[in-house]
Amino acid sequence: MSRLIVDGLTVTLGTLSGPRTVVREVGLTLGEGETLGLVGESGSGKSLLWLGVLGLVPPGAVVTGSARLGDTELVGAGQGQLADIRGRRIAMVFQDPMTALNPYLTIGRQLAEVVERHHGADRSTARRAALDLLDRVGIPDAARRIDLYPHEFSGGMRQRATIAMALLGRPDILVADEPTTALDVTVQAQILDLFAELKRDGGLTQVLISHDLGVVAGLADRVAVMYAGRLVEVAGVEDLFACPLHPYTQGLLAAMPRVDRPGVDLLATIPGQPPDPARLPPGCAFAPRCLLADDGCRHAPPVLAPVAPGRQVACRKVGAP
Amino acid sequence: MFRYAVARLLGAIPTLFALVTIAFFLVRLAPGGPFDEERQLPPEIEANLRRAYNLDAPLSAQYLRYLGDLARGDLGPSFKYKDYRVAELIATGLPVTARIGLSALVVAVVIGVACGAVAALRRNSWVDRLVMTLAMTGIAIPNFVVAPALTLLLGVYLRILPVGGWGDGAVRYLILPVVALALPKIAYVARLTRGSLAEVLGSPYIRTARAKGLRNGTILARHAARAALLPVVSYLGPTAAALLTGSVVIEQIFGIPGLGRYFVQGALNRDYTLVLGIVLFYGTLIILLNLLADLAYGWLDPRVRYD
Repeated sequence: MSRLIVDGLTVTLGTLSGPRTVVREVGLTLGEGETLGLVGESGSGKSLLWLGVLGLVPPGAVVTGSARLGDTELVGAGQGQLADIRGRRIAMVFQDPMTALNPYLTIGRQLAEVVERHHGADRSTARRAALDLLDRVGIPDAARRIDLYPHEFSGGMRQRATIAMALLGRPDILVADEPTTALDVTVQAQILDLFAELKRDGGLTQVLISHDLGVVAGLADRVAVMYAGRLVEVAGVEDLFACPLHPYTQGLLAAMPRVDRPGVDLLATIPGQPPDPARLPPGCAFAPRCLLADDGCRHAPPVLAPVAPGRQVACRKVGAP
Repeated sequence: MFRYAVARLLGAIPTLFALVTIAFFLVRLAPGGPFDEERQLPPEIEANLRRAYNLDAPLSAQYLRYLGDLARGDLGPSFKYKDYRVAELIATGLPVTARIGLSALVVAVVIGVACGAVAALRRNSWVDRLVMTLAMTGIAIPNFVVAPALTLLLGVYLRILPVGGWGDGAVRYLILPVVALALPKIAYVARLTRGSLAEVLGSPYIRTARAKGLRNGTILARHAARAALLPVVSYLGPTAAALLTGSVVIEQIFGIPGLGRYFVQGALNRDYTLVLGIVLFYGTLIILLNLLADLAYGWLDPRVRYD
């Protein structure tokens, strides 16, 4: 059963230099309990896709297309209706826990207000729920730390607190936007363990947004790869790593540093730079950097098409295997 | 926090000492003296007066004597308002000035914050542009222009309000000076509030609050207000001091018997002790109110701790 069906979702930002489409006709389906990895480099639109779904895009931005959560259409829904869904049905964890937490309020207050808002709890019940969850996400001595302010927490504890905050609304879907990027490497591993634990507990649908394939590899069931605002490949995690089909995905995988293969001095890179979203080429956005591109690729953008069960690729050079 | 406050107060002593010293010699540099009048006093009377007020001693001796009196808490006698001590004059002027100053402060904060908040919430709308244009105008026009203009309109043409005087502090007499005093402050507070609230509303933690599904009212009151008001709080310290010591210009224009007017009269009359006394009082007030603003800052922002 699918929890969220996104179809033709497009996000256009209103910038000083005119409208700029940063997410283009993205379609994907989230099944119950699954973990989707969403991969792409900075600026590929992976965060804005989810901000668009939740109506959290900056002022002046326009979201079109459709995102259906059960029977509810989110695109174009009123702010009041969206506010009931945010945090309650779909919760989000952001990249930098230092700036994502309010420096003027205690951790406990920021956690408890989610329970008060979405489950009508009174202050003391909400506080108890917050304490339980801080315990569960592995904050040591939570009973004392609940009354501390964010600056009194370490980076890792802060991210644990924001995850606890997201879970407190008991959401169906948890979207984690680069949840480990701002953290030390050792802390990153701990936070990833926490996500793995949430996955083992079951029931929760997770979206893990990352520019790091390694982060996604261990946790995701399926991986969606984004480039210049479009999905270019969607596949089961094993298929994707074993046999990437889109040239961009292949490039990404080749560019991953491998410690298990000795003798390689230079990291592989993808030549060129990602395109400016305001000046996308008429054809495939990846064509200028693609070794396989021909004139056909440069003229019409490819569509994301199924090539095998559960597998979609947007590339004219990849047929059904 | 208590130790911090005590340390700050002790640190204020050298500042005030420097202030007194500079002010003492500066007023003496002005040509003329307290007993110069259009009708020349007979030399022997003037000599008697100078002796009575200790003005015949060398300047350094006068300075040391003034410091000695000050150490005992005595601001000395006024040279011009005979039979009055400077402390008494401050005590009569202060309530008048404080009444106008505090009213202007409250008006400036309430209206300024409200206008600034509306502008920030409706950013780039016509309301925002209107508020910001008015605010810019309010800052740009000096109150010696605003005050006569208001007096002319409301006092002379429309005859709604008295054009000046104090009327023993009746509200009718308060309105024009308070408005004239508050207008530029309203404008400044509005700009300050708009800027900081707009910045706070764009911050990642407000996005988090929205992602949690909190309602707009909660986000504004609980998550945005405190951070947005911090710049206003630090602006209020020196502003309160300025308003409490009286606007020299406004009191002069409306003929209000407050501290500011004593200050002007004192300076014109070469009433050395009166000028020094008010300068010292002003300095002390600025230091105290700045300390208060800093302490309030620490109370509002958990990351700031004084110890």
